[in-house]
Amino acid sequence: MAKKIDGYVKLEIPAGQANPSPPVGPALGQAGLNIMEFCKAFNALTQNGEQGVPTPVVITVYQDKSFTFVTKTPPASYFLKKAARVQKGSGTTGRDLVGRVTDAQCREIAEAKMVDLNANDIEAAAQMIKGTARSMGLEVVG
Amino acid sequence: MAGNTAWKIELFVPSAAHDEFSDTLELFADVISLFPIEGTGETRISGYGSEAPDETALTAALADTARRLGTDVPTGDVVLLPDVDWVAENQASFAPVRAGRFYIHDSDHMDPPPAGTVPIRVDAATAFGTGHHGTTRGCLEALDRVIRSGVAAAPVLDLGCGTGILGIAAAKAMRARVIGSDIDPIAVAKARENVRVNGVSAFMRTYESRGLDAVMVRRHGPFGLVLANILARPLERLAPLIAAHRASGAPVILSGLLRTQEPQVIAAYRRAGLHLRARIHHDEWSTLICG
Repeated sequence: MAKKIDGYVKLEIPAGQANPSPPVGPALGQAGLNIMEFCKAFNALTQNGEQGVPTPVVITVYQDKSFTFVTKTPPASYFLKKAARVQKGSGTTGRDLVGRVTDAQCREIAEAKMVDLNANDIEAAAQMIKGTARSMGLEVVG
Repeated sequence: MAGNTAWKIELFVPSAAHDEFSDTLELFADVISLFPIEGTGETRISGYGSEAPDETALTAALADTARRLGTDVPTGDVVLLPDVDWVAENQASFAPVRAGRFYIHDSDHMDPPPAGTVPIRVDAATAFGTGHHGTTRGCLEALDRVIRSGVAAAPVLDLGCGTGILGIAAAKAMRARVIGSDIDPIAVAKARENVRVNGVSAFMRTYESRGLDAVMVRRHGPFGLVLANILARPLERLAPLIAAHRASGAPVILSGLLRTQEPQVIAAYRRAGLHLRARIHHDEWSTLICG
């Protein structure tokens, strides 16, 4: 019989660097999860990729407090900041441009994130990435 | 980093709309948890962050989401969580464990140990290794096995010792010289404290070292038993060094790897002249005994 699901915990952790400091510790602790066990499992799973990359994680908590988790691709904003070589997006979207990304870069990001995007094809996915870019104050150039 | 401060926002929303509300809450918190409450049709959503959320903006955002979905506006209860040691509190809820002849408990569980067991006291801290994890348990069982079969000898090396749990177990069961090493100075300090608490100071020394880099670690070799509970990649990298500093025929216990990572680790050790003798599995984790 499948184990009964109690709930979910969603968070973002640098690859290979999970540790129990707040807010991760309190959130997992209050969910009844073994904090250290999760950190170790997450670090083991993400040790092969680039370390420190923000990695979204969804943990499924079962009623016996055991858990499983899946990791997702880094957020589009992370890729876009890297592509545009900027530290952060614009605080005043629509007025200030903080950098630019190319059409090709957006397409590349769309390909990397395709598995997690709710898009039918690369074209639609690239449009979503461009939308995110503009909302961050990045100009999309051909 | 905002130290140990943690803020929590808690909402109760209709389960049918919990995804939308959790998306809204994500703008104000770093970690989100969703727990549907059985039989009520409601979900408790908690958001955790290390900085206080902007309550005015939060209220407005929740109202906006509620209007869009046509539901009641949930009230977000914002609280500053008490500054407690979350790991210690968390681990206290995990009971003592037995692995082979070893009985691992913490200071919250000080009842007399079961007859015939070797007790080890380890308090949960920021260092890894409390015996609850499949890798530590697998190592303790493997240690029990190599001692029983008479192939383990002094001195013992505990590489990546964390809390020192494995080295302490070896020191207690073998009454042998043990060298613990860890790359993390916090772990080394914690291991030293645990060595003292467990009364094995006469047997075990712990040093800060990257792998076997520190002369203080290497000069105690060759080792009659090597314990390494780390991760697959560093285990692979360390294979030639471990092989070079092990006494002829000495067993090497490797852990911290997933079952799926077994082939790459076994191959790395085979290239260094060590062969797989046994493996122990706990859930998806694997412990290998090579020799």
